[in-house]
Amino acid sequence: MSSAALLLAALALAGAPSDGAAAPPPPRPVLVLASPNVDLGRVVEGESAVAVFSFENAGNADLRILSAQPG
Amino acid sequence: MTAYDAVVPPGGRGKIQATVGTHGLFGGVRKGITVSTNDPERPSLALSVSFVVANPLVATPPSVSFFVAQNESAAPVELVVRRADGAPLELSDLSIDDSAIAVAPAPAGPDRSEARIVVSLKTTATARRIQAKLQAKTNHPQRPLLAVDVFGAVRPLLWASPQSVALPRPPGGAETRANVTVQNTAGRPFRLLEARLEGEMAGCSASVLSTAAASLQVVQLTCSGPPPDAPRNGRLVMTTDVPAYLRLETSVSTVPARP
Repeated sequence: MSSAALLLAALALAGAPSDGAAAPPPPRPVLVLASPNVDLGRVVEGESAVAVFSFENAGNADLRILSAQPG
Repeated sequence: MTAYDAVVPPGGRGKIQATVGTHGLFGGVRKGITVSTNDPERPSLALSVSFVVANPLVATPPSVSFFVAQNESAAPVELVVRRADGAPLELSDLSIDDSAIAVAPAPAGPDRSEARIVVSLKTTATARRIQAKLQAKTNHPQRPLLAVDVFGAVRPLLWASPQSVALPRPPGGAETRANVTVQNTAGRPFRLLEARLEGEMAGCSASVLSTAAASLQVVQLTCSGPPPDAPRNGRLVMTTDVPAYLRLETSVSTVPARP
């Protein structure tokens, strides 16, 4: 075994958790929604209105919105 | 229709936009949106949008009604039509599909977003149900035609109820009775001077219960004695002291009742 391979093996062992130590949690997104309900008030019939829902990603991984559908 | 920020990095902010159409809706509306995410704690969340849909043209009152006795005058109704967006309102080609009802524009007030229409029922209207539609062209791009329902009834001044009476005649000849009421729909007192039965009404009689003037009079029909072998038809004839209604009629029949 070469000295480089020995060095890599030693580094791997040093980085491995020792028996009984908790593994760090995997990164995950955390969606924090400002409000789930929006009241647009009065809208004249025939016109369109836009509701905006704001949110924040309080996690440590990318937050993905997979779909947003009426219903 | 929805639009959203598909990927938001840690610490970042994003938006979900929902565009709602209001065509054909009226009053309070609530719409739901279901969102799917990769947040393991909130893989799905429900959002809601609420709003109140207002008519672009608001008529006050929203409909016009006339309930009046025949030959009586009804107070005209002033209809105020307003553009919800506050822009000047112009109405033209005012019409109604009932010749007994008149519609005319009234002088506009200082608020140019309002227009006024006077709706009146002609005193020559015959006794009947009213179910008409007032229409006018408008300058509102989304509501080029204004339509307002006009409904109600012109009642005969004197109204007998029921309009037909069937009296059972039991086999033993026992007495049977029925009442006919006559109402002055304008609420004014009147007298029934006489009530009599005509036609095949043997064994039956009619009597006015009160000679005093009142807005409601009752005629009692009484039958007794041997029943006819088959149904018999006749009529109740009443005379009143109301000039246009000196004579009223109600159909009456007698029917042999089974033992």
